Amino acid sequence: MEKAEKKEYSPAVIGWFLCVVGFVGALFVGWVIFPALLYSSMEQPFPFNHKAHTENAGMGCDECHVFKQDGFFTGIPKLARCMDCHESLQGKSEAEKKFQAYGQKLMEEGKEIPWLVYSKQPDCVYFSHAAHVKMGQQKCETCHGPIGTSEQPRVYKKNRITGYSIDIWGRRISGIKFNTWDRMKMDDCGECHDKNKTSNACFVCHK
Amino acid sequence: MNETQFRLKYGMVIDLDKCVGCGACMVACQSENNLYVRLDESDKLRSTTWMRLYRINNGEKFPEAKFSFFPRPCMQCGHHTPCVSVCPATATTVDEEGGIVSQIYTRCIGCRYCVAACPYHVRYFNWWDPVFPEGMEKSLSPDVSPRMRGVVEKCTFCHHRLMKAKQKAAMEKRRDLKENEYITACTQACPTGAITFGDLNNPEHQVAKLAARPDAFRLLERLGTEPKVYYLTKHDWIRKLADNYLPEEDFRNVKKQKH
Amino acid sequence: MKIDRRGFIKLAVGAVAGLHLTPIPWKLMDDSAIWTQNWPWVPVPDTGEATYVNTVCSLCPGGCGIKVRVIDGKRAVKIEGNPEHPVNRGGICPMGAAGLQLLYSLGGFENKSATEITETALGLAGEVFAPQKHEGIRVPGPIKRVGARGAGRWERISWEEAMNTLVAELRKIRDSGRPQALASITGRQDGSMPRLLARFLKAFGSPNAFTIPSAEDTAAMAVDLTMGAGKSLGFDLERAQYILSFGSALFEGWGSPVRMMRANGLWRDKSNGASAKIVQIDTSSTLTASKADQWISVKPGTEGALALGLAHVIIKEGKYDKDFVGQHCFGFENWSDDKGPHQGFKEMVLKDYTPEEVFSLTGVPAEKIVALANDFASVKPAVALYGKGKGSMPGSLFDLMAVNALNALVGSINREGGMVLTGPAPIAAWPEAVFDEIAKKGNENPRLDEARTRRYPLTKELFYPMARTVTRTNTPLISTLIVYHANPCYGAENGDFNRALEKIPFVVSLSPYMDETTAMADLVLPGPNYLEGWDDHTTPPGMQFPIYSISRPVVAAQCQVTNPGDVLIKAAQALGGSVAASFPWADYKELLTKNVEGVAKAGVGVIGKGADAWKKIGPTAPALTDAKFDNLVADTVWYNPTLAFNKFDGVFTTPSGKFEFYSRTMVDKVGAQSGSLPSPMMMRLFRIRATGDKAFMPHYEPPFLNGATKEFPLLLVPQDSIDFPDGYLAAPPYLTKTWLDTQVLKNDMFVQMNPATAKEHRLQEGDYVKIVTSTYAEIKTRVNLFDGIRPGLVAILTGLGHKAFDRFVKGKGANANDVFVLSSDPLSGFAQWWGTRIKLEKI
Repeated sequence: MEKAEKKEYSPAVIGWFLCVVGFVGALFVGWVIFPALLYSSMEQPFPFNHKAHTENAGMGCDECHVFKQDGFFTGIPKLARCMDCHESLQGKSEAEKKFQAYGQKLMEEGKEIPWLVYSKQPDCVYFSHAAHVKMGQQKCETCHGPIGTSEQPRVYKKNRITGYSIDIWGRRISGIKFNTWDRMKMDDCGECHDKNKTSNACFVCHK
Repeated sequence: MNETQFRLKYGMVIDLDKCVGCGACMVACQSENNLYVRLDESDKLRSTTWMRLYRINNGEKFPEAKFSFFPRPCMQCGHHTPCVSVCPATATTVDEEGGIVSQIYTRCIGCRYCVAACPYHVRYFNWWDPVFPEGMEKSLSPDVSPRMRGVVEKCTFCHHRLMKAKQKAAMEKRRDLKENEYITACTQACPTGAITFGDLNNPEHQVAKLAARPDAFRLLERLGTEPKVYYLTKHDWIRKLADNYLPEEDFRNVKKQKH
Repeated sequence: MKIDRRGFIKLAVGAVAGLHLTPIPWKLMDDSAIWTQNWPWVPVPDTGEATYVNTVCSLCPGGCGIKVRVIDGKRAVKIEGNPEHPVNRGGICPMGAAGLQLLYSLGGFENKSATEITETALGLAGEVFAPQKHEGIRVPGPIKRVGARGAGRWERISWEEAMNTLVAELRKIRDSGRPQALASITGRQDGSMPRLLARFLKAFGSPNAFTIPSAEDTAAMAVDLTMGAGKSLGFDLERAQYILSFGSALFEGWGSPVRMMRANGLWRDKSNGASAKIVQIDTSSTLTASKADQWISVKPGTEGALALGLAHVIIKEGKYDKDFVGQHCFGFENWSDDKGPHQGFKEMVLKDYTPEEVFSLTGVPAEKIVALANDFASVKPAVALYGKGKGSMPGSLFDLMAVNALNALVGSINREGGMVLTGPAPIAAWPEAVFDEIAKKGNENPRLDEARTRRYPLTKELFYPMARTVTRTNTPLISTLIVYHANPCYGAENGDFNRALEKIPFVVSLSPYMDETTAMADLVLPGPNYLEGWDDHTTPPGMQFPIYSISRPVVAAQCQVTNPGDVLIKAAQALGGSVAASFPWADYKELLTKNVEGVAKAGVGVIGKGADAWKKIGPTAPALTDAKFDNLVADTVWYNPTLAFNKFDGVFTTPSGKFEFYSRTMVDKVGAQSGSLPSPMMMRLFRIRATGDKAFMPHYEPPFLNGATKEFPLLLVPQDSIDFPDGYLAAPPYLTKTWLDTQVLKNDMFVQMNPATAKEHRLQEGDYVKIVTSTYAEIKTRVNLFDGIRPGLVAILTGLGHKAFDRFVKGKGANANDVFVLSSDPLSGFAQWWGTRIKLEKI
């Protein structure tokens, strides 16, 4: 039986079959196993609800993500800014109560919420929000996507080799981008700079 | 060779008669740009100083002997920039408005060709990893990234200060910077006011007026590298040391030569 | 199914082909590239919002306004000059710019935030802290010695225990009835802290509060003697057109260093039409001499003689300011009183200081003296300056009187661009100290340095002789010594001081840093670094108007520190009785607040915003309305740019009410010792060689130098540089990058000498030599040749050769203080450090 079966396929067929197996196997490893190994999934320290703030409470982005007079952009607000409002409960949600307790504990310890920043770039990158938002009139979504309407944070996928979020390489492992916010590599900056006829000199974005 | 002509040309004029060689420029530069200090900094070929004071003597006998100083930042050469033309990695360029010679550390492959090419010794290779004594890493400025071992670094005319000034201007929806809105750390620190910094192309700016003075000169002027750092002095002996002049050579008119 | 070799290859080929259609190769290439740019050991500074905090630099008495860039209110990352401050107007010196390296020199103990440290203070007790491993210079918290003194073994203790130990020691001294056995040393002259320390000792009952004297003391004494008490000397230098400096290291740290360097910028500012002329009288081509328009080399120690030679020419040619001399000076012409006729300054100078005579003293050719005198007398405003070197050591009294006389001759006192008499800032007077019987009795004892005694009736501070007095006796004269802002174990005569220390059973250091003296202490109560605590600063030396400024905490304390002012207040209150009653403040900050109330009450002056104050100096005082402590803190500085030029009513508070060429005060004070006019015997006791009226006028006294010229043919002179801090602090790491390789190479330092002198002594560039003094002290250095050094002199950098501080300075070079043999100035007794006879031995 085994012998008979063996004879059914010529070595060439087996060869090609193996070739396909290798090919498909590699694809499987590359597209499924490799990303799972390369990235560790991390939860944000607190499930922040943007929508509750923007739509329900009617706040604008710049109420928490503030520009200072000298152009410094505060980015993710400090805990003190959160507690300015949440010192007393604003609503009746359980989530808020939980946050208040969490925030107060951290305040006492003199610590900040250890948020994971999806858009964190290496130290060699210089980026000015003021130049893009105030001068270049870019919208937050252009780079950060529709984060303002999200109800809970996305899973933070941290690259085990580089330590950065997958959002830099591309939200998809393929790195293919459909939206402007899908990827945050140097070429994406350059592409937009080209399009808007702004300088692409090295020192404009590097420090 | 046709270089890009920029609208702005950031440059510096250093009045050597005002300068008293105190070294405040050096220290302000180190603190501003996160330079690290090694236990022995006396080997000057290995000691990294973006701004460096060279002591010069007039060579006379007592009681005529005198000394003075040349403060030396990066000259930000505007023509045939020697380091840029040799860089195999395009890690150093002159491509930004203002003409500052950039240095991208993460792009540098550490071949040190630029170090050899620079006629002013402004470039330093990082033979060691940056080490900051315990506690002192707290004083590191977030505006400048500390350099790793194996790359070359140099004075950038405090480029991050340009970016900060631009950022402030962006907040006010201005494209142009005001005079003195962007100055380097050494300019700011100098207690004698010897350093003037600004746009050399702007005839209204103090720096352009000083650079146009007849006693203004540059280092190794005849190389034709068009440095953006000018010096002033009334002393001929200092001016003579700016290049390898022959004893009889007219060192006062060298600026007029064209390349 | 059997996979043969071909099959396997095909599998691999398929896999490789597939692999290229997966992200693996591209992604790994990219990631590994990024990975190589992010070594974990290369620090990535935390970003945050940058703000500026205004304060005052306290690293020297210069009192510059600084602004500190702070990230997120937590990390100080840069110190810059404050352009609004009237002293430095935006500039900064290298030491000031490197100040953060003192704040953050923390290594060697667990690096915890201030709150964490406070919380765990008790937990830390008992932990042995060994500075051998201690890379930083900061003292982490209160520590007490556990090993032999100086062995460097300490135990961390709580502040409570530290204060209890201190108070118990103090109580023991007081109970013994010998309160004079408490002594203190400070190297600081400005601000409330030295006053508070002196007050503590006085209330306690000890006259032995020592301040290490500086050029300010000589200046103050000369002002007292010739212009009257209560005034200090300032110079309206920014507007001077002719600056004649007698050995003052104007650009190496004299006066308020940044202000002086700034003045050079103004003098040289051609674009503003400036045409000031600087003439430097100096033995060698120092930095100031090199930068001056003219350098005149004199024999060491003869600056005063040259000043008198110039006076001779100016008087002889009738070029002196006859109005000023006639109306506002005393003792110029011959005069007489009930004791008979007296010789005037004019006759004395004309007789004794002819250019030829002065040439033989100074080595300056007669025609040069004549030319210089004419130059000085013809340019207005012209000013003559004195204060040898940086001014960190006192000078010669008669030299300074001679230079002041020169200013008087050309009428350059209280004139624009000239010498200016100023008063102190109007800070509130402190409540009177009270003394119990013990204190009263204790204070009657003579000071151990003999200042204010029969021997030195004019001198308020001598300090150095104290060490010899203490060493000489067997019973301990000092049982507890408090050291604040001073490093006598490193400073001049440190050999004597270290020997004296063996006789002092208990030494308390209030220093934030592990300096040489702190290393020898028994108990260390670390004070805050200057960016961590409250303090105040009075007028810097040489400023032409009064200034008062407050420095404040810029960042949270990096170590467990207590302000030394608070230590004193707490200790006084714990002692109780009259000592406690003399310290009615809750804490040091309250004392500062009270000081400011006096400024508010005075109601004149300006707070902050002083970029161009010197241009706006006017005769009437601007009214001040908003003098609150908080305002003064925010703008850091109060000053009163009121200068009543050309007005002399009540300016001179001498017995004659005039500038006195002949000092009646000196006659009175010196004479008071013997009850009548001082006898020649008395004068010999004061080591004044001049006789008759000349002794009380500016005149030249040849210096006393130790050692025989034959055995010690060379003269060692200090070389000042602002990059080599030689006071209480050592150079922070950044400064070591500014050092030339002809100053320090590896661990060796260089002395400079003239090539001709070197040849005479068979020395060459780079040779190793031993410097030997007449006291047979010696250090090792190398030789650097420079034609600017006067033949016969050897110039040595001060501020090297530390045995403490961090590894960046420890063991680099040699300590010049080890080979300076101090001589003493006639009458004042001030230490003279500018010349030591030495020999060089080639190694």
